[in-house]
Amino acid sequence: MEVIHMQKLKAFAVALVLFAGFSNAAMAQLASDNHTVTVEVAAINEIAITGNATLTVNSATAGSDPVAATDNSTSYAVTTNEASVKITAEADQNMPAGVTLSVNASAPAGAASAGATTLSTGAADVVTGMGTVSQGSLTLAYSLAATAAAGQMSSTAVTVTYTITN
Amino acid sequence: MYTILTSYGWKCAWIALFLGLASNSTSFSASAQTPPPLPNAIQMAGSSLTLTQSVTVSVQEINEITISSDVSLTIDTATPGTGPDAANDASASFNLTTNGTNKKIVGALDSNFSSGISLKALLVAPTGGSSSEQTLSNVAVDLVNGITRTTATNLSITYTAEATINAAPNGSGESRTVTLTLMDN
Repeated sequence: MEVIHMQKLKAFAVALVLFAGFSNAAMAQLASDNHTVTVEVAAINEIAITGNATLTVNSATAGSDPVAATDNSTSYAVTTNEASVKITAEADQNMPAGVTLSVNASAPAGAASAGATTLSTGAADVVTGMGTVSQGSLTLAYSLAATAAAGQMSSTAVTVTYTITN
Repeated sequence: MYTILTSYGWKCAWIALFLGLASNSTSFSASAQTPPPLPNAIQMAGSSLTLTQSVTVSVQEINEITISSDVSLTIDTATPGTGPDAANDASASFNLTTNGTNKKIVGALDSNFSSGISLKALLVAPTGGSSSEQTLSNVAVDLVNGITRTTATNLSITYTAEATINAAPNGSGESRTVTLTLMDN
């Protein structure tokens, strides 16, 4: 009988076959992820006024009431993304009897001007039917009229407030 | 006779037993007995044995991209006389891993926003890549190019939402799903 002497068993040698790189047959993998983006458009109404007006009633034709003073030097700009809004104007004080302060605001495209509107402590429409518009350099034409009976009026600062509203 | 068989016989039997064990064992006196060979084992011709085994490994193409969080933008201001101001948000970010070459990231919306509303995206590119701000729509557009074998985290995504004056107020807003895809260029 043949005697097999196995004094030592060598460890298995492992042949590594390393495939570096990528398989030519493999398709490019797509990787993607997503998230939610929400965009809110809020109601936007912006108005800005340029300059201050000065009106001085200081002349008359004999036999007639004083000549009204006018000032067309100021303007306003407006932006609204709403469908139908208007602009109102309001003074912080009423004029004395016989004195009238009025404004004629030019209307932006698509809107209508109320024409010369007397200013008082109550808000009055000066522009109506305004919708989705952004426009600047719109003239504010002021007029100050005084009757002879009104007498004189010392220089008074009147604050006029313009409001975009529904 | 019985006695002779018994005494002599036992002696012979014992000797036979001893010799038999000795002849059948690989090493009877000092070394441990070698176990029988395994089935199908290779018979050794010498004193060593070498076997080989084939192990196959591979590294496949890996492309991964994740986005951090949702985003909300509100357009609510304007300069009088001009259209609404754009809204910006840079709070979102993305991570990516690729072991490929010349990859790109494309972005798309699941559907377009209402008329007058647009959304732009600007992604910070990973090292070696390039990016540009693009308007997003339901058609995928390249946002980052030239991405090769890189990992990157917290790369910023800057969104810019714009609305024309004709874009009506939309309540709580419109939501869209933005999908970023890492793919071959």
